[in-house]
Amino acid sequence: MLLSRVANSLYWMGRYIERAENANRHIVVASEFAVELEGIQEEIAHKEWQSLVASMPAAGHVPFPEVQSGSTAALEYMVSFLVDPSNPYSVISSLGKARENARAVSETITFEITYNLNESYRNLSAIKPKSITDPGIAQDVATNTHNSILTTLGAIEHTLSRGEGWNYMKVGEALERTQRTLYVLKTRLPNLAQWDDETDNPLYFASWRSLLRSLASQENYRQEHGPRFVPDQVARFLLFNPIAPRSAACGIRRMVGYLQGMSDSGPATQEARRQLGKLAAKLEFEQDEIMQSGNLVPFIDNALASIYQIHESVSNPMRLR
Amino acid sequence: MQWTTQITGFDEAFGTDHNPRPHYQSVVQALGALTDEQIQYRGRLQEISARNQGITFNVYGSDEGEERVFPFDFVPRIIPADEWTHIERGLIQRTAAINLFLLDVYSDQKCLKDGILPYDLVLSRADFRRELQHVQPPHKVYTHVVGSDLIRDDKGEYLVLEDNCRCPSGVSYVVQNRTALQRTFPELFAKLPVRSVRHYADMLRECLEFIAPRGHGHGLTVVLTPGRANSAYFEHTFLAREMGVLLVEGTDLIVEDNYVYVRTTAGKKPVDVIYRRIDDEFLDPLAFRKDSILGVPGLINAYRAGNVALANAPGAGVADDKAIYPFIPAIIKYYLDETPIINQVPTYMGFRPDEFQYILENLDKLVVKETDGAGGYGMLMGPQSTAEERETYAAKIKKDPGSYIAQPLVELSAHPTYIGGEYKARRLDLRPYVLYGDRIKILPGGLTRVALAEGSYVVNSSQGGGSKDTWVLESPTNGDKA
Repeated sequence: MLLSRVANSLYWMGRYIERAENANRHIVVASEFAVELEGIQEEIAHKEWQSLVASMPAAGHVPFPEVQSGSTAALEYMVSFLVDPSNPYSVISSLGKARENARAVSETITFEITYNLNESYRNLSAIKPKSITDPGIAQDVATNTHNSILTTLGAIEHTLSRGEGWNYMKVGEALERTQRTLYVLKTRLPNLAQWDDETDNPLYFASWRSLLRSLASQENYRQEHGPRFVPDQVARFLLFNPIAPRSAACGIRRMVGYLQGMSDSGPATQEARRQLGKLAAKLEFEQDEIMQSGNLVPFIDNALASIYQIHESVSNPMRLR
Repeated sequence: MQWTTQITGFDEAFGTDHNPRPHYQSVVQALGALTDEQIQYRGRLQEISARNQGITFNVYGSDEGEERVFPFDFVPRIIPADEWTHIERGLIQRTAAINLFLLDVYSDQKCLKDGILPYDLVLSRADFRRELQHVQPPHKVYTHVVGSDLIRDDKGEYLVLEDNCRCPSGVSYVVQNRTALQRTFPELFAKLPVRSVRHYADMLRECLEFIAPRGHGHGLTVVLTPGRANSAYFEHTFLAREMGVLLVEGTDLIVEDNYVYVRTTAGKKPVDVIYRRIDDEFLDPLAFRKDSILGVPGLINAYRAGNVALANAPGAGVADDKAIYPFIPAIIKYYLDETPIINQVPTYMGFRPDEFQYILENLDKLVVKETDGAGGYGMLMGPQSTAEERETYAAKIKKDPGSYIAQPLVELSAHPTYIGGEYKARRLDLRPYVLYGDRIKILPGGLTRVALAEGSYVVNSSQGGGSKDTWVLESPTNGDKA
């Protein structure tokens, strides 16, 4: 038996832990990319940071540096996305919200989850922004925090019962992840598409590598397609690959599975299932049409709109039951 | 390592010859073998562990941030078996009498008719719920969980300082303190047969299931919490988790046709037993405080109809009102025809003119308390007060004498407590937890609260108190397992 309020908190807990992990990985990758470009193509490094902000819409209102000297900009972005609680996409914000939701349902989750989540939050919140004086320290903080978040995810994986609460937490995680992949593709593919297939240009490789790494997909892509980064293949991989954990298709399939494990058969869940079914069918059977359109953005926008409706159906109506 | 013993009162651990009492010898010896560095390292581990587990409490009105760790002192308080048997017998007697008093006061009021307590005193108590007159709780039990605070006077005699019959808190610390001590100082347990406290949640669940209206063990049991802002929220989550029941807030419950339901993802499910950690007045805005947003509209009607059991039963708070406390020995005599096994502190009552006059004339010797006060707030510690404070307090109590009681300052017993690298004597009390289901049972242990500040008598967590693990030994105790 699962309280509606508890289901809602578990859903958000799943989303916020995923969001924290995503933001953490994004800034590590972006920072490494910026360092690689320092003194060579700082304008591109700046674009990398801008696309990071663009891929996290709610972070748009945070004032970011106009200075584009590599390491200064990198440090400011990293501090903001790691430990600034006024940045809604910062790791500390997301961990704090995950922890608040976990606290509201702590009797339904395991001791290991509570302990690790509290530890992740407390360790990061103990770090004052002023103590991060260079990108090296920021990298160190980000690496430790990332490990800590992965430990929490491991605790969830290995200790939480696969009941209905699990499905709510995991549908939140899958939705957040799918949304992130689509936002990153939307904001970064147009820039990347401007590159010619300059296989001898190290920047070309660095850019595609950065995209794939920011979605934790570099190794998986290479196992499937080898070392060459072909734009069309990368887009197909991140949209349609059924087994790559960060692809949109994989996220949607997971969400379908989690929704099947929910006892709620009310109109809200039915609507979520209908939306998911449509999206899953498109991703499975309309791959060529989508790719041949020459512009992926309209499809991604439609998919994001559907995901927003799925979110509305799974989360808000539960309060009314 | 320096051990300071208590000079003025009773020392729990050391005799008048300054040698450890027999049941403390092995612990004093084991602690003496540890260096300051070892102790501080283990202390840090314990605090980090407490924070990561979320064993924190919120202090109302504090601006030092929301969460605070209840300070834990690792030197255990040890109670020999024979002392515990005395405490157990005394609390069983007291709880039985209190319950009979509640049954009576909400039905025929014989004790009032027979002049054991004054009508106006009882019926004017804020926690006397006239709405529940002639409503009998399941199995005639009002007080399913009681936490009576015990102190020891300068001769070491246990005295009841007050009873808590509403929602006594702190039991989670009893269990967590034991866990913490076993992890951080396992060697202390080596030579003593310490009784376990970790089955408390099983005892509580058994007790709650006993009162289910549809019969023992039938139906759904929940813990009702005011929510995350409550100072005891950790405890509510702890108990729900340990018992394996749902933790609900008021908004999770609805009442329809005098039945209580919980809102789940699969629709409404009926609720049979509510272990409520919300005070009476906030339980149901239709019955009590209309501005309560913590409670459940219609809950009292469902209770009145016998469709849901509430633990503790609403209305039980009248028994632990400080104005009723002086009458408990008479209540024990009246209902059980016994003399109290555990005595209590002599009390002067403001509502009696001659006693009020005595209070006014002896403010510098007395501890004065509000009859409905709690948490150490609103009281005057006469012997430690200034003339100006006493003057202000006198003016206050003159406006409403009936709302105050006064007691002589009891020189609380003291116990070695690790402070600043030394073991210093600090005053303490003890709250054992009494459960009343099919019969009255007591957890062998309790919450020992310790006043950490030098010279202080106030042990409350909100006012600088800490806690200790409380060991009750298996009989007989000369201190050794073998």
